[in-house]
Amino acid sequence: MNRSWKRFVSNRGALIGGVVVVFVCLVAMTASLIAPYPIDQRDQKLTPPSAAHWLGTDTNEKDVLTWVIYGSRLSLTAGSLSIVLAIFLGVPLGAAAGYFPGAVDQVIMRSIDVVLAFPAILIALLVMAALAPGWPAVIIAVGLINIPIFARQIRATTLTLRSQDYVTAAVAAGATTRHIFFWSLLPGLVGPLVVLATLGLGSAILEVAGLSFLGISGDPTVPEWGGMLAEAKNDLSTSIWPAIAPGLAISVTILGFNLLGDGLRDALDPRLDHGK
Amino acid sequence: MRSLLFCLIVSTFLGCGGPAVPSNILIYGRGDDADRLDPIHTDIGESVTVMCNIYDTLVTYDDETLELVPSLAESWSTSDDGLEWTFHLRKGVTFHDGTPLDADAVLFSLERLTVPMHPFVFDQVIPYVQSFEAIESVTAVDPLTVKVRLKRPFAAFLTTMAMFPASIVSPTAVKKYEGEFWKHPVGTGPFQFDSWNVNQQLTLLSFDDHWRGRPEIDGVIFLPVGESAVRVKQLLRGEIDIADNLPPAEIDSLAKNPHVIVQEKAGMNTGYLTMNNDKAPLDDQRIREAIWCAIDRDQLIKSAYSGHATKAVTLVPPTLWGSHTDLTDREYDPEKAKQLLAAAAADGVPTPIRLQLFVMTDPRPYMQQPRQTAIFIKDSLAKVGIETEIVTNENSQHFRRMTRGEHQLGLAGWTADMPDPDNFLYTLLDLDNINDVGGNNMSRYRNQKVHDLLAQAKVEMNQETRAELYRAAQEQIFADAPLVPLVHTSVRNVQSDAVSGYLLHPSSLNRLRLSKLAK
Repeated sequence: MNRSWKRFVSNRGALIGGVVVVFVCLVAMTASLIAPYPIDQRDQKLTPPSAAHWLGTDTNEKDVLTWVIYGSRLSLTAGSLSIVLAIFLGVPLGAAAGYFPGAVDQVIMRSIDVVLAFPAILIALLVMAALAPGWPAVIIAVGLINIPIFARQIRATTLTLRSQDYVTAAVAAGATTRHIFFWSLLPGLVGPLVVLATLGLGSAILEVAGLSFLGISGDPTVPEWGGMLAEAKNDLSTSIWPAIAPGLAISVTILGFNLLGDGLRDALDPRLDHGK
Repeated sequence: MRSLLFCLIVSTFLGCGGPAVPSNILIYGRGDDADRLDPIHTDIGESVTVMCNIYDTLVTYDDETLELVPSLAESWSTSDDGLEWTFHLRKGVTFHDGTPLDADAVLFSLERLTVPMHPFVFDQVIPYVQSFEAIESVTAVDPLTVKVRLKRPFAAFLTTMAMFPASIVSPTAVKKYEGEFWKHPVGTGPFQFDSWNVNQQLTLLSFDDHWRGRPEIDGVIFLPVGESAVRVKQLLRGEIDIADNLPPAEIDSLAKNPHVIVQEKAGMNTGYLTMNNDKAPLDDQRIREAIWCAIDRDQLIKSAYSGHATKAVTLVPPTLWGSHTDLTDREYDPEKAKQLLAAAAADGVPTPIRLQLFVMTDPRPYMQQPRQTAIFIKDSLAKVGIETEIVTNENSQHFRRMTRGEHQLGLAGWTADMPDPDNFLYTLLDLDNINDVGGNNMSRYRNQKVHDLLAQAKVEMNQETRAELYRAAQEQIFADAPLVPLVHTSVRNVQSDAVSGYLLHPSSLNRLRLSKLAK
């Protein structure tokens, strides 16, 4: 762990990523304290940045900075919840496929191949069409399209782990499957899972914003970055401010998660320990 | 068409940069495509825009005003009791397919609207059948004379003959294409149908033998382009000549461009907030009045219409006769709204009030920014203590669901099909028009007194007396507040300075016959 930490802090990209992620999370948590205006306050329509409105106002006469700040809440929450959903479904599937080669593995992995054969956005739209438009549907849709990513990686890691000597020893000692899963395999899965979840969060936030941009997220009076972009695109040629701010917020947040994820992968990679 | 296609292909391969069509063809960019081009089977504005250039009606509006002038009928007369109308048809008019226009063609076209189970009607959905319900029979007296007999006097009859469903279609073409006629429209109008690639391009070519003379331009191409921002770019690059349905702020900025002409005309339309009077707590007049008082319509006009609209007090727009312009408006008064809500709560209306607000996805002329309007209303109602949940539906679904009364609040509106108060008041608020299949009284307002007044006005022939009746009905409606009238908008159209001769018409019909192009 100590060595991992050293590798992490010596990676500048990872540090920057970490700072960005912490910053975005803090903004989301303290939105009601740091936002200059309440979210339903109206002033003037489509004004450029000024002292009163640092990032201008949007087509609904609302302060863009306030909306970007509040928007971080829903973007982060929806992104995290969908990743949690993907983990809860993807990890058991991947672990089962990796631990029980043969029929179970074949059925699970071939089904996942089928899912992967479709573009993610198409699956998301199908889910949205089946459920009523709204945030729960967005979260479920984004969760579902991320399941294959987790299942495949976890299966690969499980395959490696189960042929390790300590697992074989546990089997020889008569440990139950449940015991082996929780006490021998799971600890080894945590590292890759943390990395995957961090990287996955970045893409999940983008996917959530994408679905919201397409206008299928329900209530437009809840600040959210994708929805803000959708709102701003009609006035793009007259006023660019309402589009730039949420666009940058999405990019910077995703960059943060990606840098952090890459840094974590390098830091937590067990192979790097052997040489030292 | 083959030559046009050839030009298209050649210029595409040569990559000559400019728009890949002959220069004398007008290109009309719009948000959506037409649905069906059979006049009796559609009520979509995008289809009407195409059809009013393909077909003619017996009478039509003057090029600039709402005055009715001869079209396919050269003259007409009516019997003393107002029950029998005789139309004398213009000589020598032919359809695009060469069929001569005669009394039989007129009879055929009108009977498709009025005769139940007509053998050449291939779909039972006829949105405007109610408007022609007063017609008892149509007869061809001689090849150039048609008699229409009415069941009862009908003041707006001549105006209904100028409506697009009463367009005269070629009987030969209907018999030839049968159920596919809507894809192969044939009329007598200034432009003939050429080709239609759904959601890609719809092409009309000028009709050489039009009875008014061939239009100066060679044709019109309708291009559906969903994104308004793309239409703006195309207009500025000269790829389209006319761009319709743009967001107000966009039009304001285009108006500053010297190569762009913005036409503006007070429209005959009303945007309103429908309230489902069947559903609690909206069955309580005080709640409806409170919602009316809670919405600052002046601010809404600034915010969602860039100021290009006037505040509505009644459904009938002030540009139309019979509009009650002396009603004392309920001003924006959130305090009064709160008092009304408190009084209702004291009588047992459960609080807090939570309502669903139905919103359409795509703009309409009377609702140019539905999303922004919805957010504005939600914010306004929140201030007086009413919580709203915005429910967004794609346009056709939106209106279908509201017709079935699934909403509580909903954004709605109406553009006049004909310049008559009946078209607003009877259509949108009469108890006859509450049904699940096409009734436009989405507010489900039932008032016997209003119904009696409107029924009386329908058969009265004197316009002064009719106006009196409509004023009385509007007073009762104002008192009951079954819906909140929001705005009457200006219709604005954006065109490149190469286009001339094309005038926005108060009826909102986009007749392109007089357009000229200087490219």
